[in-house]
Amino acid sequence: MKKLYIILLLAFILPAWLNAQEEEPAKKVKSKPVYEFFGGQTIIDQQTVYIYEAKTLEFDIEHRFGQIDNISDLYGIYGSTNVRLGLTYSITDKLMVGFGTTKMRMLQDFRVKYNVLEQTRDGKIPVAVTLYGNMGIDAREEAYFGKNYKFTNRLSYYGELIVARKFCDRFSLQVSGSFSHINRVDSLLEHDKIGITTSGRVKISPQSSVIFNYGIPLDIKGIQEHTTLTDAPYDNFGIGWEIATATHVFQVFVTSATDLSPQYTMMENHHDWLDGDLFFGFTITRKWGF
Amino acid sequence: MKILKAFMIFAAAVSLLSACEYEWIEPDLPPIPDTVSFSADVMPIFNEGCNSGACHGTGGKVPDLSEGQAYNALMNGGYVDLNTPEASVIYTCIKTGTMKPYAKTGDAEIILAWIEQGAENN
Repeated sequence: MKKLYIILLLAFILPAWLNAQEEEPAKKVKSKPVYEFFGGQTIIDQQTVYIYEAKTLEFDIEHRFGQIDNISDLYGIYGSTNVRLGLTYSITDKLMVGFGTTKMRMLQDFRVKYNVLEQTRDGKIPVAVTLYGNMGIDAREEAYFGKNYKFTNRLSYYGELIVARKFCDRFSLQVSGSFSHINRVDSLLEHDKIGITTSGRVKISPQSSVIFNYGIPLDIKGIQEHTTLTDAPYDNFGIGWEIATATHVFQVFVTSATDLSPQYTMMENHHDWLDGDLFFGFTITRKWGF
Repeated sequence: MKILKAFMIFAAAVSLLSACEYEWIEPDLPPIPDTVSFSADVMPIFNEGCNSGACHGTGGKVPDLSEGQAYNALMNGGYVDLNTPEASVIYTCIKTGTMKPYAKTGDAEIILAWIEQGAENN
């Protein structure tokens, strides 16, 4: 896996470096940024580097069906594992805030995303960089938190640095590093987790794309509280089809993650996609410009 | 715009006021009865967190954990292991598995005690 990330890193950096070698000194012209890395602001279970233009409001419906198992419940379609309704708003072209409510854990999440660096069309800046943060409030009743309950037991956090490159109109790829924290966890679990996620989009027509997502929770001994992890989370994997229009994004996919908040996906995903633990899911978004 | 400002102030305030904490859940275990009753002790767990809507209700996902169906669904579906109670699927999926978010602290222990006592339809 390390080799894969070295190859990805080279793929991001090399084209820009080569460009820089070939360029001659030219008069100062303001570089134009690359737009529309992805169809929307999320890919399956993952935030993208992309932020809509200022004063854009988006409404999200995210849904995960039951586990794909057998025909008795139409391969999970008749079951519902999780659902999230959310709103996001772009205050500026570089800053987005959002709020959502999720069925699982009755999680109420506040999120903020800030675009630090834009990829430029002339290749002077080869990648876009975005920071993403999320705070969740577990709103279930107190009995779920055990003895000595206090409000802060409900809180969880997620921070992420996303680096993306749009290689051409048809292909965009992003890699991100994340830190997840949950304030109060079961005795078998960890409070902190560092993870790496790769997501991408391959356009197959002006509106349709194949999208994919792969997240790896890393077992880093330095921050690990237990000597052995008896309940370690699995990698999360998703692949699907996206249709993006000017005002809507539709994504239909299979995924191994049913939590709709990234901190819980990184820390408590019990579904092993290699063992066939997959779920159908969809995301529908509608955006309005003001 | 005022709502947006209020939202941001609230989000920032909550974040600042509550730094990361490192606490463990200390299970608030209810006293486990000498004889665990399926109808009085186990079914209330299923009624509260499992058999509503399209989850494990009638017509939903297996096992059907609704009243009148749950016992047969568990025993005939291989969810209870009388020889090794801790390996029972109905226990492990609530204790550490995918259904853990829907279980309160102590629920898994009641189910384990019921299996250890022979998993009777009492």
